[in-house]
Amino acid sequence: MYLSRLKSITVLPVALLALSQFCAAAEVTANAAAEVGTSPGTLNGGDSTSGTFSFIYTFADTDMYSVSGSYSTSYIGGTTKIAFTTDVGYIGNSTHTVTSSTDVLTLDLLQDYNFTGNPNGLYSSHSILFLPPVTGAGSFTEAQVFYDSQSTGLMGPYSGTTPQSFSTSATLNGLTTPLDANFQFVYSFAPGTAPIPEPTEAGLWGLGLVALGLFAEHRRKRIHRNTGREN
Amino acid sequence: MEKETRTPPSYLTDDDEVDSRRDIVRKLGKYATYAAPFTVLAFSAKADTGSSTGPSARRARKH
Repeated sequence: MYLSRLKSITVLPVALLALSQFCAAAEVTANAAAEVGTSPGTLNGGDSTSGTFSFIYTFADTDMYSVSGSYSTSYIGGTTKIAFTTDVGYIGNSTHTVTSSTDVLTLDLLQDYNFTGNPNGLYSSHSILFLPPVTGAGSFTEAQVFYDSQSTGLMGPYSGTTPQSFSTSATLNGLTTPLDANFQFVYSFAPGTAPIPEPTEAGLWGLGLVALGLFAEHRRKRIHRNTGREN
Repeated sequence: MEKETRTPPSYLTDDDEVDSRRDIVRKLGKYATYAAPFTVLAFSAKADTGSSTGPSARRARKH
């Protein structure tokens, strides 16, 4: 009797907690098309949410891109936070060749905050940007964060393959509740971008090199031993 | 005239086989160490990342 009562006591809070996380979930879009979630959820004070994603985005010219990453958002202690990580790579097209036209991929992480008090103030943004090493000349990436469509400043554009840090900040006014936050990455891949090897493929290459080196060393030692025996 | 018999150089003794296997294990560890950074780079996430926070309260001016 007590166990069943305990079950009924615990089920409702767990359900409410799960429901709150479902309502607070963020949305990830690729060129304005929803890829994770269907609408940005709303965080209340003390809420947080996070997740990972992985999908293939195909352009009209059949160029395909692997997109994966993670996100986390929170509204704790009167401070909103939105964090976004994306890994984008060109994996080929219908003819298995390099890109023939410029592909622009815009990834947006959308999250709403049920802000209590005045949301106006200083918002700071930071990002680390770089491109894969096989992109066509003229490719670039950039990031920008918007609050109620007001930007904290453009980070980039950057065309290097070495990670580069960017920081911006802006004092925003006229913000409302719910506060709409949008962390945006833009990738522009120029013609001539080559497909990237899959991580598994690259790992197999590494193991193959190990095996070759091992075989060469074993062969060398065998020859050395036989030479010593003959003498 | 005595005819010299020579053991074909391609055959190893049992002891040589054991030593050879031990060498293989040692070399595997050595080359795995050399290949590890490249393998880690292959599997490591090469991702753009960023975050944003706010609002921060402005510092009060000292008079």
